[in-house]
Amino acid sequence: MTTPAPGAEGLTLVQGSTLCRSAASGDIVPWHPQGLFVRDVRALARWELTVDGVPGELLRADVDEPFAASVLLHVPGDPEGARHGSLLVTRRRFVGEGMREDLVVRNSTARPTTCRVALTVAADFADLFAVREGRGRGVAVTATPGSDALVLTAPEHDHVVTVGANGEPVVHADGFCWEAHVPAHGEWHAGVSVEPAVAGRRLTLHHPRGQDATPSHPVRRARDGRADAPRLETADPDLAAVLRRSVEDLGALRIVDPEHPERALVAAGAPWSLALFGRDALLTALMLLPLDRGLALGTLKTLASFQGAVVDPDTDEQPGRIMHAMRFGPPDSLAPGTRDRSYGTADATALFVVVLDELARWGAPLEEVADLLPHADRALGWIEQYGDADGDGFVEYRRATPRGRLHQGWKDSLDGIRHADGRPAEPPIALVEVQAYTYAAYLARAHLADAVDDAVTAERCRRRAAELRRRFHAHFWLPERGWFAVALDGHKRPVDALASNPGHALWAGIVDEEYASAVAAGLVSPALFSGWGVRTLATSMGAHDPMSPHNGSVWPHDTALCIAGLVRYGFTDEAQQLAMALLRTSGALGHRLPEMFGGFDRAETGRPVPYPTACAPHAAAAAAPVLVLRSLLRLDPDVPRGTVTCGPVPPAELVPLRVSGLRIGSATVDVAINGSGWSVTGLQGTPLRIEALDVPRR
Amino acid sequence: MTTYTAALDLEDALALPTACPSCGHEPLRPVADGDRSNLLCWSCGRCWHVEMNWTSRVDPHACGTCTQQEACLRLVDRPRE
Repeated sequence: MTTPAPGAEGLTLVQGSTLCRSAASGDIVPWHPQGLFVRDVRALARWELTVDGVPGELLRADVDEPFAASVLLHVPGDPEGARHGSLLVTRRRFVGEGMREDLVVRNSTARPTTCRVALTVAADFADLFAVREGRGRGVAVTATPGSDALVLTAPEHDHVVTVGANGEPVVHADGFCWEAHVPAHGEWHAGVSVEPAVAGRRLTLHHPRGQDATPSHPVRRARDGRADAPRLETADPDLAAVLRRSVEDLGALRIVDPEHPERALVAAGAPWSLALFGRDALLTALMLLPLDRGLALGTLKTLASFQGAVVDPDTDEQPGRIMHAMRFGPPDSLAPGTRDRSYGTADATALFVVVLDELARWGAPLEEVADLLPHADRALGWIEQYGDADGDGFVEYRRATPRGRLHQGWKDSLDGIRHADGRPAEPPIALVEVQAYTYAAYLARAHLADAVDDAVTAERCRRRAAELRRRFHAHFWLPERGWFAVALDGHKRPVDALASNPGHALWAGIVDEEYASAVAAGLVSPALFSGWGVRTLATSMGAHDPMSPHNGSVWPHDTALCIAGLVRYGFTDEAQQLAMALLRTSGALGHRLPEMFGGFDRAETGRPVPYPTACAPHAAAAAAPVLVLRSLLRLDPDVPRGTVTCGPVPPAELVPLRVSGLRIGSATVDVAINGSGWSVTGLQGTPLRIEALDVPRR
Repeated sequence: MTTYTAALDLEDALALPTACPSCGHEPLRPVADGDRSNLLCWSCGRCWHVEMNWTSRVDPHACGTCTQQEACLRLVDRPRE
């Protein structure tokens, strides 16, 4: 089975921590976010093939497997030159701890021919994330040609990559050249391998030259088609299709902790973020709780086992802090200043507590929750001791060294947090959504304490939450603007941009009712709502750019959290408007919601504009439609309290709507909505009772 | 009115394969090689890597840090009977 690769999107191959991104022709073109990346470093920045000086015309490109692709090129003949007939060129590429490429030139004519095959090669050892963000300049590289290999080195950075070739090439400092004699109706073959070294040791290619590549197969699951699995029936084709695709994509993002393979975990996204990211993993697991509790449990256990224990400025580790990112496997990332784990996130620690409580609400076994409670307390300890380092009552961030992450919320690009006039915000920065998550974390811990009759902890946490809520409104609300500041900067001044972040504050429940309508109106205003989703930054702001990841683009998971917040506060019409926009976005993008897309107005472009280096699939984006569905059902179980609150408010386009097989505690629950009303079944004979939420709070 | 459906078996989608794609033996044993987690079949000795919903056979010659490498190499290099 092959998946045609659209020419505009190019080829992307992954295996483990190896990623190759090229044009559909197979060429890696300088100055583009392309290359062969091994362990977060770009081992190849240029890889361009020509025949007699001509790049082939692309006939087709297929991603055969996640780590292998085939490209077929046509090289026209030259009636006035030495070669009259055209040639076909096949490039077959495999990645894994490096790269191998097999070249075949085919002569379909009755006359033998000779051509000059040239492969231009260069490395720059740029950092993967810098390349993705368009700022990857790399380092100076020395090229040393040998008899059949080209060695590219950056000695001061300890980088080496060896490019070897067979077929008797002439090796230059900028690549290889073959004089290819192609028989009549025959073929010419050559093979090239790219082998990086780590700490002086050349990595072992997973697909070495000269060996047949073993074919692979789609994963066969153990229990395809479980009868009692969750299932959706709806009148809306986009909702069904996007949820189907989401489940499939989340399976593709499954990663394994070698120490605990039984723990379900997902990477943040492919191809750029095939690693465990604390914030992404927690939000994804939380959004998916209606479908599976195992992912939340596996995520919490894994993050708990790597919870910060010491103060380490190199990684931003601090006691109790939940990590930002880690890659399972060798600690020797090639990228300078990086480790296998980093802790530079301001929000994952609070989200850890929130997700643990949500897991308990959906009915996780009490002993599993109890095992994680000490980690939740250590997380709150981090919030109070390190998160609020200056004692002003807010969690703020500032990196410990220049190598750390400048911004440590979800808008973590270098220009991610800016004032309304476009000025960058100076750290330490207290983000609006981080205070909201912290508020939710205190209430979550209080709720967990309630379940074990720990009145002292419950009271203490509720008191802290109430105090935070009071201070939040006093410092973040901007009466002259009519919206919440996106942050407080290092001088405790409000960062006054209109952004999507306060939507998360609605989701977390920290916003007083009197301010909620202003937040809701802002989220669906023309400045923030593009027609496809909520822009990260309003069009009226100085830094707005529809193609900036955090200053104008649209992120599906962000929009989904805004929808959940709108529903929470009873803004049903606004939530439905955003929900249908997100569903129609999915329909326009083949039902795979990417990490982000351009924030252009729907009326302007007619279709969502892809962002060139967005992850797709992306875990939180794939999970977003599940949160949207749950929000529209207004389905809130509280198994420790013995209740399930429900009061569906789906848009008419989705009805009839039925979601069956939802696991709440030991019950398997169905929610059905039709033109005459709604029902919840499956709670009979269980300790749970339904609490109908018939009227929006508003 | 047309009804559209979606199976939402996320638990199954996140489950690792339990049976050897070659001989069908269950269960497969998780093993680790550097940054890769693989699934080894104790019955036929084949080892599998799962990535992006695809299962591929692992070449034990490339498994420099796996504790099972020697045993796997003996199996692979064993002359066919």
